[in-house]
This record gives sequence, C-alpha cells and structure tokens, in this order.
Amino acid sequence: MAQKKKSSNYYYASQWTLMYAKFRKHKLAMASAIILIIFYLTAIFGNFIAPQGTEQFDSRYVNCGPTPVHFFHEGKFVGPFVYGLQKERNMETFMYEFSEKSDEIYRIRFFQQGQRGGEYKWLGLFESNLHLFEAEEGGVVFLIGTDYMGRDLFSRVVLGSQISLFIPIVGMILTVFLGILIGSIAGYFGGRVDNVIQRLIEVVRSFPQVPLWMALSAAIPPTMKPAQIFMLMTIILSLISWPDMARTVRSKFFSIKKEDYIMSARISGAPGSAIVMRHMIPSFLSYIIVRMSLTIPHLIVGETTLSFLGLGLRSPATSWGVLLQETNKLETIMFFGWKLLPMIFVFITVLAFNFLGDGLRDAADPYK
Amino acid sequence: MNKDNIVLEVRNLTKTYESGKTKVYALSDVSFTAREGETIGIVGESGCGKTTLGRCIVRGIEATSGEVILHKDGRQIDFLKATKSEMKELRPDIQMIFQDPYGSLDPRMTVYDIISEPLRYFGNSTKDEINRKVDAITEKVGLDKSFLRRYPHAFSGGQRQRIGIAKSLILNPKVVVCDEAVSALDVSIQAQIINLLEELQDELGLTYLFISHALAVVRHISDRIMVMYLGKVVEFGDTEDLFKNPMHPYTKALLSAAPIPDPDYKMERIILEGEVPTPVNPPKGCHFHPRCRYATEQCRNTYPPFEKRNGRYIACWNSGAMEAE
Ligand SMILES: Nc1ncnc2c1ncn2[C@@H]1O[C@H](COP(=O)(O)OP(=O)(O)O)[C@@H](O)[C@H]1O
Ligand SMILES: [Mg+2]
Repeated sequence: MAQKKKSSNYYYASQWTLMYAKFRKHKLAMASAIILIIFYLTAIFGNFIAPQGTEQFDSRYVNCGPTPVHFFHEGKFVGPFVYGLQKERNMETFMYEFSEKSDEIYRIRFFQQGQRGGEYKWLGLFESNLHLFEAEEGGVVFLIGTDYMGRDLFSRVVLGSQISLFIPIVGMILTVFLGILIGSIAGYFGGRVDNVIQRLIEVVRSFPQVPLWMALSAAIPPTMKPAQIFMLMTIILSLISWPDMARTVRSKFFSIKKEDYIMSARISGAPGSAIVMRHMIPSFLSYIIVRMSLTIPHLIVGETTLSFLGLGLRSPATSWGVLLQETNKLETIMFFGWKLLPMIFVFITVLAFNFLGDGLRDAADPYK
Repeated sequence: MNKDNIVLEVRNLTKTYESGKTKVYALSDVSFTAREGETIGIVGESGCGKTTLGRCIVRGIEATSGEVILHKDGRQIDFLKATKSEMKELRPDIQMIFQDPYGSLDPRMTVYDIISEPLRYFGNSTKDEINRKVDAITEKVGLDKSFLRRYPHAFSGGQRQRIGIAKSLILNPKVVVCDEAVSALDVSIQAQIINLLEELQDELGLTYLFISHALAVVRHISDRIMVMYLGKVVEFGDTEDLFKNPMHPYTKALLSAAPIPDPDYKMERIILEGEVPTPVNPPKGCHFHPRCRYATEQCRNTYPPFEKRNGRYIACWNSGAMEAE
C-alpha cells in the first residue's frame, strides 16, 4: 500500500471528509466562516437583537454619535450602563452636539419586554416585543450613533442585514442555476451550441455593468414593496453575473469529458444523463461551491452600490446600501463620521466571504 | 470454449480526427478477426493508433467508418451500428481495462460503487444479487472485501488496477480490450497483474486485445501479434513465428530495437532512419517507405495490399525479396 500508516479513517474518507479536513487548516477561512455564521444568526434574530424597529425614530436624538457603554462609575464596578445625554448647540457650527452627563446612570438591561423597541413578528410567525438589551427608562443606547431622523444605526444595520445578507443568497442561487444550466448545455453538446452560448456570454460580459444596473433599476416602479424591489434588483444582478459561472462549468465539462473514468462509465453502459449526474456534476460540485461563496460578496457590493446611488431601496426600508446613502455628502462625513460605521459591516462581510472562498478553493481538490 | 470460434471481426475500421483544415488519420482500414479465448497483442510505436483502435472497438469513441462484428449465438451483429436494444444486449460483451489506474476510477465513488456501477445499467439485479456479484468478482481479482467501503485514493497502483479489472469483468464480457493495462505499474506488480489476467482468461474464456509497447510482455501473453504503423496494420501472425521470423521491415526494426532475452535469437540491431512521419500527413504509397531501406519505386507510389503469405498477414511489396536475401 502506497500510504503507509495514515490513519485508517483516511481510507474510508469521502471527498467531503477530506475537503473538510483541509478546509479546517485554513485559519482565516475558518474564522471567516464563524464570523459569517454570527452575522447570519444576527440577521435571523434581527428584530430581537435590534433595540429599535425599522419604523421607529426619536427626534430628540437626531445625528447623535455613538454612546459609549461603561462598566465602572467613579472607579466602582456597576455593570454595563450608559450616561445620560446633554444636548447643546455648538456656536461655531450651529449644530447640536451631544455630551455625557456624568451624574445620570442608566443601566443596560437584558431580555426586556421593550418599551422603545416595540412589537415585531419573528419570522412572520410569533408576535413578541422581547429585546436583547435596552437602557433603563430615560436613557438611550446608540452603539454606533443615529442618523438624521434619530434612528438607531445599529438597529438599522442589523435589520438591513436581513435584506443585504439573504437576498444575495437568492441571487446566488439564481446565478448558479443559470450558470450551471447554460454552462452544462455548452459543455455537453459542444460544437455549434457551444459557439452560440460563447458569443452570448461575451455579449453579456461586454456590457458595462454599472450603467446597465442603473438603467434596469430605473425601470423598477417605485410603488413596489421594498422586498420586491430588492428581489428585482437581485434578479437583475444575477442576469448579469451568470456568465462567469457558465464559463467555469463549461470548461470543467470539457476537461472532465476527457477523463478516463468518464469513458469507463460510458463503456459500462451509462446513459448520458447518468454520466452528467453521477460523474460530471459531482466532480465539479466543489468548484461550484467555491464560486457560490464568491458570487455572494459580488451581489452584496452590487446591491450596496445601487442603493448608495439611490437606485435601489429607499428609506424607511433599510439595507446596507440605503444606510450608506446618507454618507454621500462630504459634510456628513466631516461632522458625523460614525455614519460610515455601517460600511465596516459590508467590508467585513465581503472580506469574510472572499477568505471563505479562498479556503474552499484550497480544499476543493483534496486529491492534490 | 473452442479456440476456433470467432467472437469478433473488425472490418475496415477507420478513424480520422478533423480539426479545422488538418486531418489526422489515426486509424485507417484496420481488419482482423479474434477467436474465443485468445489474446491478440497489438504493438507499435507510440502514436501509431493502438489506443484509437481499442477505443473504437469498445465504442469509447465513435469510429469514422468500418464495422465491429460480434458473433453471438450464431448471429453476427455490427456493434458500431447496434440499435438501443441491441446495445443493451451487446454492451456487456465488449469491455475495456484502462492504462491509467489513477484516472480511470472516479475518485468520488467507493470501490463498491465503482465495481457495481455497470450492474446499475444492465439487468434488473436486486440488491442481494449485486452484492453477491460484487463479492464474487472482488474475490476473483484478489481484493479484500474490507476494501469495498474505501475510496480509490487509499490504494496503490496495482490494487487500483485490480479494481478496474473487477469493474470491467462484472458484466461477464467476452472481449476485453486491455490498453497498456500494466504499463503504468512497477515491474514486480506488472507480473502479478499479468498472471491475474491469464488466470481470469482461463477461467472465464475471455478474448483479450492486449495493447502494449512492451514487447516482452506482449510476447509472453499473446497468441497472435498485430504490428501497427501509422494507423495501419503492417503484419499479423502467430506470436512465436512472428518474433522468430519477422517479415515486414518495420517489424524487423521494431523487434531488433527491443532486447529479447532469448539465446537463439540473434538479430542485428536495425536503426530506423529518416524522419518519424505523423498521421497528419501520411506519406504517399507505403507509409513506411521513407524509413525503409528496401523501398522501391512501387513502395513510393502505391500502398501494398494486406495479404496472407506463409500463414501470416503482411502489407509489404518486398517481403518476398527480403526472404531471398
Ligand atoms: N482526440 C484526438 N484529436 C486529434 N488527434 C488525436 C486524438 N486522439 C489521438 N490523436 C492522434 O491519433 C494518433 C494515434 O493516437 P493513439 O491511438 O493514442 O496512439 P497510441 O495509443 O498507439 O500511442 C496520434 O497521432 C494522436 O496524436
Ligand atoms: Mg496509447
């Protein structure tokens, strides 16, 4: 036996077991996977985690910076709390500014039937007004500040992630579906069919993406519900992004077609469908998964870009792109720097998906 | 088993690859018959069309023209033009063992799934029958039953080749094309696999088309030898006879280039001259003439007929003259 004393499990290890073992060694990808899982769980439990709902605002706290969470008051441990806020007009800029009043302490309470947060329907099923955390009556917690209407940005990031993290998955599924379907047709039939599809791919790829998105999203009627608008945007993004997938699938088909085990299957009497389903698709499934993990950040950035340009969702509906809309003025960034903080979430998510893709790519071929 | 029964008849098998303007004549006009239980060795330089011949016969690739006639229960059916229902019946009869024991097994399937795959497509075996057949064949090829749940990456070349052999034989074929079936293996393992192939042949009455460039191996296992040059058969005859007395100038050169451990066997080493021609532009006349020292005007103009002479098939204008030499 060539492999002398590898653990006997190795002999029984399927492709997926080997891939997982290899993936685990990629520390950055593992960390990214954990971060993404946390983000997605946060989105799922978003209404519970966000202290405010999408429709709520507080005109007393417009453009308020982040309120630091403290643990010690005058050297004594009191647990997490925030100080009360003092609102003053800055006589140089003529804008209101907030400062902490060091004699008012509002403890942060966990698992509260929220007064500020209000009711929500979790997954559209259970009515509840339970919130993860909230300041005592009279105090406010804005972890990353508020916007021009006094809405809590942290809540909006969390609630926006429900759209920004999940709809790209729908888009990814559509992209992958179109890519596999069109790529397999080209790869399986080859010849003329392949030629036509290749030209089509070139045409779609040669469109400048941003103007095309803009044109298509401008065609979406603004009377539609936010979720529908978002869905349409995703479909638009998928219609533009399938060619890469189709190319990968097509070239995989061509290279795998030449493998001896495909001919061996044919000689064993396997019909075309069995060859595709049993041998070809499984052999590049791992690559498809890699592509999937790289398609999602592409779609997230796409959505963010469109909404930032004001072509996607509009307030009060929220997504990460909508949150960044406010930052398209230089003064905003100068005076209210915290409004860029939602960008960090976009950044982390995109980066994490890319690292995840890297790790999956390394693990994809466990036989090398 | 009767060694005179014909099981397979190949007629004018031709394969050309076309890409754009260039045409590759990988196989042209190959004809021969194979008898039940015999081994036909197919030899020739790399690129002469051995693999193409094997794959066209098993329909791994589609031949451009020609026939592969299977003799079955008194009927003669052209395998290459078989209808769907005929295919269902004939497909199991012609199988293939591959050269590369790494590339020919799907790395994502367990050994059990690999070996039993052909049974999925033929007959309506129950799970029990499949298990029984798989057990029987794994034992026959000398694999441990405990290997069945493992994946191919857990095995050495020799064991993988046994898995490949089990897969090829599970449908009870009559004719098996072995394309360089041992060439990728260590020499000591080669001997084991050759012995296994011979045992299986005796037990199951298989006919082998044994493709190899290793002359010593071919000489050991084959009853008859077919020598190919640029897509054509140039000589075809009984093994010992052909090795002792090669008639075609190309066969002479080929055999003289290989060290044969036989004291009776004395032959000057013939070095082939001239450029190695390619099947893209086969020379006019006899394909071998640019490298042949006996070449005449006739050789340069017309391809010689493939004729039976002294119990041997040969395609050469001069073989008579050379014997007199
Ligand atoms: N798919 C293909 N396309 C074009 N030419 C091919 C293809 N497959 C084989 N050939 C050519 O056909 C000839 C015979 O090849 P092959 O049958 O593999 O020879 P052998 O097995 O004797 O080495 C070679 O010249 C090879 O380059
Ligand atoms: Mg070959």
